[in-house]
Amino acid sequence: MSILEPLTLVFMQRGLAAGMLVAVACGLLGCFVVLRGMEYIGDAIAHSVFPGVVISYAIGSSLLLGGLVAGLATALLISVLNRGDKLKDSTTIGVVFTGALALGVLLMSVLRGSTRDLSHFLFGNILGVNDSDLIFTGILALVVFVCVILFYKELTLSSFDPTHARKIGIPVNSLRTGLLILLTLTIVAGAQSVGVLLVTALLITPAATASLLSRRLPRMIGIASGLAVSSVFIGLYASYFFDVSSGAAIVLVVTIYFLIVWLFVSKRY
Amino acid sequence: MQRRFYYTRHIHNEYIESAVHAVCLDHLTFAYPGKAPTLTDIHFCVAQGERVALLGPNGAGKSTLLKLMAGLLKPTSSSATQAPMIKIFEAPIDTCHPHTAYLAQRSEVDWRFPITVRDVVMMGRYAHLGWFSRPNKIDTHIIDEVLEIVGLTALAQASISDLSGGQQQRTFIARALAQNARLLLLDEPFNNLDAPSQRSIIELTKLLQSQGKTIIISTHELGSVIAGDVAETVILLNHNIIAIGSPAQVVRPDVLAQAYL
Repeated sequence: MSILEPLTLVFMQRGLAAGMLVAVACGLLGCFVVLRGMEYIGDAIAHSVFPGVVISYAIGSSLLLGGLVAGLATALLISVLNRGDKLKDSTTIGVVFTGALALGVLLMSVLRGSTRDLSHFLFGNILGVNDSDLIFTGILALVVFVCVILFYKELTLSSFDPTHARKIGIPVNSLRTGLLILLTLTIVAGAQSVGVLLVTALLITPAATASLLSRRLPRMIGIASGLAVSSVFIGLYASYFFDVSSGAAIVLVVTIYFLIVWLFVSKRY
Repeated sequence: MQRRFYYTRHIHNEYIESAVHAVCLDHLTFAYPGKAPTLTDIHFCVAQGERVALLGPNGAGKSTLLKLMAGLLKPTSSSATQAPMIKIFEAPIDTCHPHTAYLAQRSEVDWRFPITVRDVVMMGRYAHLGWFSRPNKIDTHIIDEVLEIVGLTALAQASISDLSGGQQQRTFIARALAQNARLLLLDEPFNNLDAPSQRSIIELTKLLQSQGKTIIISTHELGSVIAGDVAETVILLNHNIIAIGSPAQVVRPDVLAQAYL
């Protein structure tokens, strides 16, 4: 078997392209998620994408579109429930995402017998990416990329010092909502390649690894995106040659990166 | 000339420079929702160019008062008067005032954030940049200048996590200067600082005062007010105003006892 063989196969090409687009978006946004301590909310959105997927499966519409609507609804619901400071963020998130997950399971039990494709969405099916999925993923990644570049200044400031950001008139709450929307876009796109249950890892682990390696945000973002992209490549290759789950292989590669860097960094201090 | 999309209504410097008072509080009352009032009937004015110390025990409402003056909290309105309870530079307060700077307690800042001293100071310029524009040569020049003033030029490229407490404080003062703020609200700047660092912050505030800045510093440490020249006016606070006057008038055992006992 030639080492280049996978690259000649159309489904591998599509999978790699989609996975790498998602990886860049995850690396970019993941840094802000980690710096703002929004890991939990990312996980919550990923889980709440699930009922949307089940509904769109039932009515025969695009799984990505259904996930997107459900994820955005959850992100908005969480940000509305958090207004007024009556509850801690983590409390509302805990309430919403377990509720959404339960709704998904309930709907799935109604649709019993036709759940094969749903497992693809839960654990990813990067090799099943078709042309329209690829275009959709490309557009999502582009939107994320452009937004982060346009609002980089404001995102960085409101992550580091929301008080100063408010003081000089930056709409901190709207920015947060915007970030949640981008996060949902990325999660939905990532769900296709590594699945909703594992996409949080692609979002958080490369960013966490990068934060150990750099103390400059632009460099941290670059490292995170690079690690995420290379893990998609290595994970997908591994899954091709050893015939293992591609989503799990990708996530394990980023986890190994993290552990190696952690050992290396903690040895130095 | 480049068109800019400012975050907030932009106020010109000349208008602010001509104001007599930096802050005026008119029988201000504030309560957090469902709690007993934190501040009652606070009534005083601070002239431009004054250095004021807000002195009081922990929980006296010093931080709350600073946040109110920064526009980060809204006063609890009494239906009796319609007059604005807070005026900043003789105009009713806006949440966002590009010429006031609030320096949070150091414990409220994430010091692990991957950012350099220079980047933090540059954030002061964002108020005057607005959406979609990037710092230009003038902004860079301003940053060089303010870093020089606070004595952090050599540390400009250092990570904020590598700074000492005093250097961290000076970084944020530099940011307020880069913002071109004329009113600086410093929340407990002396917390966990050694004596030489406290000294250097006090000297810095004196220098800023000589440039026409108004500075209000909250502190619960009697020592720094007694020993040093933190301010020429001391406001002794414990939910309401106990005394206002020069350090010699306020920092006396019989007066302090009313707030601290």
